[in-house]
Amino acid sequence: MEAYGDSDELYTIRQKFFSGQFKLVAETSLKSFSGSVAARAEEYILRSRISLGDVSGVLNYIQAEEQNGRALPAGLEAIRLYALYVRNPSKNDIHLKFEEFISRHTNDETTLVLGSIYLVKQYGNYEDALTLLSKGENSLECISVIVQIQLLRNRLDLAIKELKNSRQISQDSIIYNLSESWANSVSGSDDKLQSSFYFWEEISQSNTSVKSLVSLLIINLQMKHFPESKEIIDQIELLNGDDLNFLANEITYYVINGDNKKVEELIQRLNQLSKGQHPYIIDYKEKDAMFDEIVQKYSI
Amino acid sequence: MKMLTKFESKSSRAKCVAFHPKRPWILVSLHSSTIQLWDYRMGTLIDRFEEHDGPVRSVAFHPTQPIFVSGGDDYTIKIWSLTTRKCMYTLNGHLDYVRSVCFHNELPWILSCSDDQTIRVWNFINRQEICVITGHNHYVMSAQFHPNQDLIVSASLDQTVRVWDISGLRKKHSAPSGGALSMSMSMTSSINIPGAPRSFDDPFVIRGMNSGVPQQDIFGNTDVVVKYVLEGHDRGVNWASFHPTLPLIVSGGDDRLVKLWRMSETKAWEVDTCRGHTNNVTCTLFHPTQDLIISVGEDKTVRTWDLNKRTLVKQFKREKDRFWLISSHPNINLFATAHDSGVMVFKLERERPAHSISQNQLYFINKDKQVQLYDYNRNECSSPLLSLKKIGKPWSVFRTLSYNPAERSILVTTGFEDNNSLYALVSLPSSSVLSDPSEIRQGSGSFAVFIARNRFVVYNKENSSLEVKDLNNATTKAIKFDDNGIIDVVYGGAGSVLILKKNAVILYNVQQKKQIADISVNNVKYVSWSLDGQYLALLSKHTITIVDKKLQLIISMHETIRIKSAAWDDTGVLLYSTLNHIKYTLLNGDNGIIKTLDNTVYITKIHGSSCYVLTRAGTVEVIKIDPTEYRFKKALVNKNFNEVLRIIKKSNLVGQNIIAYLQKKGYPEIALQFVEDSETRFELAIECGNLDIAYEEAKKLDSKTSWETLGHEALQQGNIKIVEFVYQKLTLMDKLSFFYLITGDSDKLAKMEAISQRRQNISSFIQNSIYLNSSEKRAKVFLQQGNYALAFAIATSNGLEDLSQEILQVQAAEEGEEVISPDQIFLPNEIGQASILTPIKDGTQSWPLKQSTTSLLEKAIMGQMEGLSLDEHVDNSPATKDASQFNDEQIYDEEIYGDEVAVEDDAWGDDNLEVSDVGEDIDDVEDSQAPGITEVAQWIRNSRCAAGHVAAGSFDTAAQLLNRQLGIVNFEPLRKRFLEVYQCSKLYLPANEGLPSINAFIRKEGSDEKPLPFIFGFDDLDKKVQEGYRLFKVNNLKDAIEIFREIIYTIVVLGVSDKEEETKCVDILHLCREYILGLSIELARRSLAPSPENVKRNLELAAYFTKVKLHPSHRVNALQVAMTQSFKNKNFSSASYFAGEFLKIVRSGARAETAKKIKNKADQIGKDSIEIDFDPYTEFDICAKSFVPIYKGSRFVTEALVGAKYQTSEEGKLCSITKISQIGAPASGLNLIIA
Repeated sequence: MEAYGDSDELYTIRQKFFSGQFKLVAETSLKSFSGSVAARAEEYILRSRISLGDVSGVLNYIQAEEQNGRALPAGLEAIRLYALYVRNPSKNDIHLKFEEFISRHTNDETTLVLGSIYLVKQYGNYEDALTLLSKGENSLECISVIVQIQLLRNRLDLAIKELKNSRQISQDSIIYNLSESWANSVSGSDDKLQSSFYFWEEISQSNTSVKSLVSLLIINLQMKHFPESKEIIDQIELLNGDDLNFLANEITYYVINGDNKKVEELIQRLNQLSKGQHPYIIDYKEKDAMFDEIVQKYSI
Repeated sequence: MKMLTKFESKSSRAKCVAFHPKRPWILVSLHSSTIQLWDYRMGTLIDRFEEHDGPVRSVAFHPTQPIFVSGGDDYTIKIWSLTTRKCMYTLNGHLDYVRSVCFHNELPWILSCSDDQTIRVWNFINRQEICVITGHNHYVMSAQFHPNQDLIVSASLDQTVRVWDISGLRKKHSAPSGGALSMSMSMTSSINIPGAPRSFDDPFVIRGMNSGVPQQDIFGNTDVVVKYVLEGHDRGVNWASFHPTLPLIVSGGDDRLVKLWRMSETKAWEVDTCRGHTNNVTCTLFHPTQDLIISVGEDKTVRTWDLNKRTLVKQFKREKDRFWLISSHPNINLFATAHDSGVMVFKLERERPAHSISQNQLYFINKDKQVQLYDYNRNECSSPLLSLKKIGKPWSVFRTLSYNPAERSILVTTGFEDNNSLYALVSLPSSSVLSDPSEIRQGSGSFAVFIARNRFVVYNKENSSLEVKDLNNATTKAIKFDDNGIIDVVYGGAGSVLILKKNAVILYNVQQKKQIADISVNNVKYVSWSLDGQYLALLSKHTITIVDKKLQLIISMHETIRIKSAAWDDTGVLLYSTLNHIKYTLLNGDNGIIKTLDNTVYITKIHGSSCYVLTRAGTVEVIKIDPTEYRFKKALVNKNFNEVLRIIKKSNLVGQNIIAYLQKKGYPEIALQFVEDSETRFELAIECGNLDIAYEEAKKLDSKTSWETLGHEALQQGNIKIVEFVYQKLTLMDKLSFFYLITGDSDKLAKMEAISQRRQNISSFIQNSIYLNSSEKRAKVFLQQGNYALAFAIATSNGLEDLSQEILQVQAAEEGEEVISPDQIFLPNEIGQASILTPIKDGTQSWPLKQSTTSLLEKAIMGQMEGLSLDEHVDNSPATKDASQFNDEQIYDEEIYGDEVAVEDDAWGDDNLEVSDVGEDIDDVEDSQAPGITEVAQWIRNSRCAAGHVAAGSFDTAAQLLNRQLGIVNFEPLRKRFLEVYQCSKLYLPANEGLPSINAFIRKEGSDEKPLPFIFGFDDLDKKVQEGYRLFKVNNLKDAIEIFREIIYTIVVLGVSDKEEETKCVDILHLCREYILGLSIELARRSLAPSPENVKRNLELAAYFTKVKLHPSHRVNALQVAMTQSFKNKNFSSASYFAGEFLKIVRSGARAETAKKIKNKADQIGKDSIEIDFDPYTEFDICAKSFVPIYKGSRFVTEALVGAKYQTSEEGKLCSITKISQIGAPASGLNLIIA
């Protein structure tokens, strides 16, 4: 699979994509890329558009390309199937198509990544996703997804092992550093947090995005740097205060700060914006209901 | 010549790389604007510096200070601190890309050059630009100071190389007066003085500098003059460097040429051109110590050229990466290059001198390719014996040397790296004058080694065979052997070789053509035989594997730092060197550091405390080491207690280190010898069961716990004297009595009886009397106590007729009727003499239950061992001497070849050394793929208080805990606190798009080992209490109560770290209770309707309010209310009391005056008109519900959370203070300490 040196033409776009500057990526002109690199850049652009919610736009684009007689590379086809799935997750024939496609294109990095994400989303099946990802040799993106899945499975040890094994591939790639910072955050030990802190501080300055700032906010909260956290919150508010993940973490800040009013308001906003589907809201409601039972259980 | 890569980094395009002069660090500047700091020895990225905007083209360490400089396309030069890892300041001035920067060796100067066609010199102390050198009329690509002359060499795209004389500049800036003068001139006037220091932000000055005016100061002296302009390149020149010692310059340019120039005092001229690069030459320099030029270029090659012949020596090509720069380490033989995908650090040849040991002599090849000899006995190094310059290629070093003492000849190999390897057999001259070899017998082939007096083995790569040759270089035998990653072939004992392969080592008997043994180990590079030939150490880059002579694994150990060499000492301890340490290891794997090294050395031999090493410079050095530690440990492992004892007595080994080691290894009795501290001695003595010492130390310590420990151990060992003493010491009467009973010591038992009688301890007395079988006394005691029935029973059953009659009489006299008739007491039909069993054996002797063993060492100490001599162990005993000569004599004494002599299988005897098993590292256990334990599950496991469970979301168990600990039954008010404690540690980390966010958590500080949740609230408690006080002050009582209640709820779900914090929380809980109670009373008083029937209650409540434990400044308010109310209602006596109390707190001011007046008036009358239920002079509590006094002695119930008291009628109801806990509910108490 591809090399991850940051000298190549993809360096900037990759940096932007992985730091969550989807808008900038989506706006990148393909003309600035040459040959084989362009295909890769195109994938980043399309994936960014999906992240921005422009699923139909992506589908139209791919269709137009196809109608222009372009033979679609595997990555693009994978993006199309993924977009179709995102647009309508309950459609059976897409599942079949996608799964069949995945099984045939295990040498394409984008297929592996999107395929594994699909497996997790559709079936919650981490094991199959991991099996699939293990086919991506020397693929940092695959490693990054593996690391996240291991963390989701509470296997920090395996995540760290994965990182250790792939350290050789690239020490200084943003993809690797990102994955490492996630593991650091989960490990929660002081020195690990400190090193993640430097990483995020740098990324959020050089590649400012809500996503990178939210990550920096999380590190700050984990390190109990509360005044600094507030500054970051203010900074994010200027960019996009309605980002769901931001809201979820912002609530935690205000809880600690003892600002009950703000907490209530934020929970309501998150509930509204996510239509009650954000894990935070689901968890919160569950805990609230749990408390009802306790009140019931004990009484004079 | 071979490129030995030591380190490679992968990154974006690297433009420059610089070595730290001392530490194993390099700075790498990247095209992507980052500067990286790497440890090239450990291969770790230490730090990154990100302040430049755009590519950083150059970076350099200061030769002595902890700073470095960088320059880049943002036109700036930045000075950074290595200590703080921050940019200290930025030098502005250049008007275009900065191409190169460097420090002056001694002056505080920085030299820079730029696309703005200038070269500038800066003073980095006062941060001033001190000189702008103009002259080049295109980009200046490089500029360097001469290492020791006042010269600068620069290269420019204007196709010239220029040499500048800066002696004027030095003069000016080292002459303090001149410098100060020109400084003050520039400060005070705005006249443009070229060459004088200026402030940077003066655009006028900069413009002036670019006009090409010769640089003169006010006196007309020029600071810098161009000395030579070197023309010869047809395209732009990218780099030019001075030779470190000779008047030479080397340059490289876009014409793909490397040019060599020479300077004299007056002129400079082109010497020659090195042709070969197929693209632009980007950088070139002289080898610091050898006659070589090294150049790199965009043709992706590094090339080395012979300085004297200007011919290519060797080129190294990279697949994809264009090279941008090469630099050499100032002190060490290392180079670094920057290329398109990172940097690499390498050396151009091995620095390990080829050597061989024979008997007590070391033969080695020095830096000048001369054979030298070092005699270990005489500690003498010979002068060079033989020059090997004629063998092999000029730039190839000798890799191995094998010595044949029988023929006094050597076998050397060279050129292995170039794939045209060569061996040569030469005889050493008899004279001690340096000479060339008389006859060279050589051939192509690698890995040549003597295996017998008249035979050597060579590996021939071409036909993949091991060839056995005689001394005439004729092949006598050829054995096919697959070249399957063979790294080396070394001596393997008589007639055998060890074949080192990539993943295995094979012991091969050449004579029998048979593989004798093999072991799979990776990449073994060197082998070291123990002196007795029993063991060998196989050295890989990071692993030492010790095996016996049949290649059976004994131990394998990993080193993080590269292993360089190893040698066995006389006693069979392996000493080895890494890049920076000398260390030792025993056969059981115990190891340690002996010495830290400044420079890497190769150990050749250990003798006593001398460690003989070869340095990279090709000289022998003797390093003194302290062998005590490893000898001690070895003696211990071998249970050689004579030696252990000798070392203990003769050396000062004492240290925590060794004690811990001994304890860990299970030798407390030896550790005991070292320790003086009583406590440690006591513990060690108990551990090894040495009661005498333990007893001694216990006497010194004299603490209850140590006596108890001693008593327990003594009882186990059956040492009754000590047991008795301990029981007496601790006044354990019951135990002591029983102890005397079982030891059959009836005298002392009688004493115990007497003592208990004297102490009037009836039960103890009865117990003793039972032990003693003194039934009469016992019956009397019961009689005295009025327990006639028992007394009678005892008397009767023991046949004491008189006594039983007496008892009946006494009873009759005392109680009149109800005489016990004998038939009322049921006694067994046959009444015999009841007695207690006594020990048959005389128990005054000790009877050990646990065998305390006397170790050999203790015996040794006690002098019980025969033939124990504490004399210095003789190092050169004949046995060792023999063994050390194994290398040679055994082979050469026997004529192995020619005759078929059976090879001894076990010539070296059986190996009976105790060796611990080597276990494979089993880290697969955790590796199953099952999902893991969540962080919150760990919290539940680790936390002991309810808050931990709440934070983990296990509300159920938390509620259970709170119910049991504090009797909490009404949970609704805690909802907010539960949820916020749960929320305050949860974070949602967004990762890959499309996947769920990762759960991250805020942890309690310092809980890395055992994760615990962060729970907020403790730090805010004081703030909240203050808020409560404030509301009290402003008379907002309802809100104040709410705040205090909130504090209670916060504390209920709180986790604290220690007892101190917990105590503080409890104090605050009590404070909240008092305030809530007081404020509730006052609110109740205020809500009374102002009718005559309520006057009494009003006064009572006002009075009770004053009894609540408030802060004095708050109690004043209560007192004032009570005082005025009492006075108003003509309860003068009470009013006087309250006024008095008031005045105790408030002594002056208007309010005090009023109080005084009231008190005076009230005292005049001194009588209460309404009697209230309040006595100021008795202690009472107030029922928190009914607000009536609970006087001392009357019954009440409490509540467990804040300790509020209630009348008993309130039991089972909800506490009105907390609103959550049940009054009188069983509760185990508050627990806030989380772990």
